[in-house]
Amino acid sequence: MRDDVPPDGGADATIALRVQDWYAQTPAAPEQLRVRINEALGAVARQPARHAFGRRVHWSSVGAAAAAVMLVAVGVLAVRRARPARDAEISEVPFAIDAPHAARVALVGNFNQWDARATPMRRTAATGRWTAALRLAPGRHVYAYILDGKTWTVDSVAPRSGDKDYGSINTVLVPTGR
Amino acid sequence: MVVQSVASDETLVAQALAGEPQAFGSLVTRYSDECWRFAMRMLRNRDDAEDVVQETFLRAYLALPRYVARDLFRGWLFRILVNQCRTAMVARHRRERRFINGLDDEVQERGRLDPEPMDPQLERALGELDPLVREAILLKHGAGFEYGEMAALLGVGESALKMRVSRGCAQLRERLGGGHNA
Repeated sequence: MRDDVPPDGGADATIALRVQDWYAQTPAAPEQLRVRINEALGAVARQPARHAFGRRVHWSSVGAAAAAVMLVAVGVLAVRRARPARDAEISEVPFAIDAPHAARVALVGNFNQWDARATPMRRTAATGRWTAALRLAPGRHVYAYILDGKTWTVDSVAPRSGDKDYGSINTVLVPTGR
Repeated sequence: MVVQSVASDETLVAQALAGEPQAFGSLVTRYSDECWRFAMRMLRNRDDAEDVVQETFLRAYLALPRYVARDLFRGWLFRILVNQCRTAMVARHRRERRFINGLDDEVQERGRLDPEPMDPQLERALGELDPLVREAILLKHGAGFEYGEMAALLGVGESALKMRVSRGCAQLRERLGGGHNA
């Protein structure tokens, strides 16, 4: 008997033992889950942000918060899985960030697997504004911008949701479809 | 006889922080089953549990520089896991409200199927408990945490947690013996 079982041998102990047995019989995690986790960790480790572990650090003042942006990407999967997008609901969503001093800007998010090469943004020379447009399904999307391939920043005008666990800030977009 | 040394959690954390991502992979191997068990039992949904466990490890990995070694890694990891489970339950509640009237029922139900439920009466009775009570019972009698560890993990006093677990056990007894057995 484990030492967390109530020692009185009473009714609570009976319930505790039954919960223990039932809980212990839970099948092991599916192997595909470990593969998924390792792939996700690998994708994160390939991002510039991963230099944070004792190596080069290139965070903007708000960039540290952007690391958390990556973390909630998985949550999106549940929403997408629950309700596959219909073509008619996919809409074009504009993204824009003012970064007049940046030489290049990339849009990364759960919709492009956080790949910094997937969605380069275009610069409007007169204003220094960088723009991109993506066709996205309705739902919760999490994203960030990478300036000059090294500085992560969140969208200053998009709605944000607080990360209750660690006090960081995420950028969240919820297109509603047409 | 081959004696293999097993690196402690703290050693693996230190190695991961020093830039050895495979050390964190060892922590994933070490704790993925434990996290999975809790998430499955708490959420009662395979898809949600998979997402929550994956996100827990991602969050832990990126938050590693803020990990303080005086905390046990397992408790620290479970703190993230518990919060992710709570978030998933809120998200599911919203999702289910949005797709009311049977829309996408098939898609929603797919993730819930457990082909061989063990002790289905207990499973159902636990599912009827308040989520915070269920969470406390699973941490205490499932994952085997001490009340002191649970207090640090949940930010709730030990006496309140003892009350919560005791109340939950009483409710389970009532449900299991009160005609809820199918």
